Amino acid sequence: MKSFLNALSEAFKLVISFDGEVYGIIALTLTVTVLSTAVAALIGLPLGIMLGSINFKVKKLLMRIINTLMGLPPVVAGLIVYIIFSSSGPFGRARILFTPTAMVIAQVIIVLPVIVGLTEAASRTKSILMEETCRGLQINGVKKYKLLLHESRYAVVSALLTAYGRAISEVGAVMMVGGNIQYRTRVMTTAIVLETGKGNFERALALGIVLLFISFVINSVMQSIQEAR
Amino acid sequence: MRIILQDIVKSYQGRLVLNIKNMTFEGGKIYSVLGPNGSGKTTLLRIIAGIEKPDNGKVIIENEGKSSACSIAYLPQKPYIFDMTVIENVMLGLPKRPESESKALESLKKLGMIDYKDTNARALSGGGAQRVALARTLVLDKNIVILDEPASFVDAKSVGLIEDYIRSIISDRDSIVIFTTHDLSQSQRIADISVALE
Repeated sequence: MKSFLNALSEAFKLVISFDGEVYGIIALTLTVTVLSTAVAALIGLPLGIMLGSINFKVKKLLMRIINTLMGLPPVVAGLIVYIIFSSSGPFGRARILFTPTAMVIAQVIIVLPVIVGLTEAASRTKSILMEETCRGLQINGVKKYKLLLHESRYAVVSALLTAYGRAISEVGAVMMVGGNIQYRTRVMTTAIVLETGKGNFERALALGIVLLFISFVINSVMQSIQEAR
Repeated sequence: MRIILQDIVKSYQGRLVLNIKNMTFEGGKIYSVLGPNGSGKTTLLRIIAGIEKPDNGKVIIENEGKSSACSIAYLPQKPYIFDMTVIENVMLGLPKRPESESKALESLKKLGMIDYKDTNARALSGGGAQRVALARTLVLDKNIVILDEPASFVDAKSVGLIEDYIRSIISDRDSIVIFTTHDLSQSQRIADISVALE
């Protein structure tokens, strides 16, 4: 209990200390997680909406694969990106390993199936309900997909929040492809691992509290947007 | 304008629900389709609207000698009401043009729904939602209008408005209106020809 109270006090001190390193870590954490969720949303939302509204031969198999990938261990995603961008890998020349770019790519791989899978599930039922009306009004193509996205928006926001939660909480992939380099690729989760390894439990816990607080603020903002609409 | 049905057969899970040798719907006329539950009224409408394919036979739509399937507006029995305002719902099928809003407002006015134009359509009663769905279908100005029980949830006053609106479609042009109903008196009031399914 004393440790927790100390950690709370440490977390408060961390925030008000305006320590450059801590704020750098927070900024990089937000940049990487928001960017990866945004990129995954740009790809995943249209894909999920389309998958939810069409049927084809191998759709069941495809959805099974996507649902499996929703639980993809972050270290596996990290390993894939590591192999691809390591100096002996097919894209080694890009020299992005141990940079925030590689961290974003790894996180996109992790959160993309979450967004596609949850959006597909959310839009599938709506699509069935809307289908006859849309055909009767001769609404099709992009217009139909936009309408489906509009009608599924609450569930889609939940999907994005779930995806963001996965991005901000994962440590394996960012550690592997980012390398936890001070001032360059260190994010909240990798910093917590480092501090724990050094035996600085209170500082690690304090970082954890700050991480939880950031997550809470982002969730609150997204839910406010959802409720306002 | 003419719709010709030839040798239409449709079954569901081995049960024959529709078997029509020959049926023609002529332009400038209102048709009512009558029959008990399960007689194939909705299936017939869905086949004409192109929502469903028959197991056998074909639907030919002749528009001034040319075949055309894109001039159909169809109101399903359970229309989907979108989570947006009434006016936005009615404008959904219209192109994005300045005159579209005035057309949508006119359509709502004809069905007595103009006062609700800024209300969320989901907040309306069953009858209100049905009138919005009907306004949304009729505003499209299509040559073929297919309505599956367009007045099943509305009150007597609104039924009159709906019937007047449907009649006005025919008087304006060489359109075909086909609707299903369980109300024999309604069929007699507005239909030129009644089709009975068993």
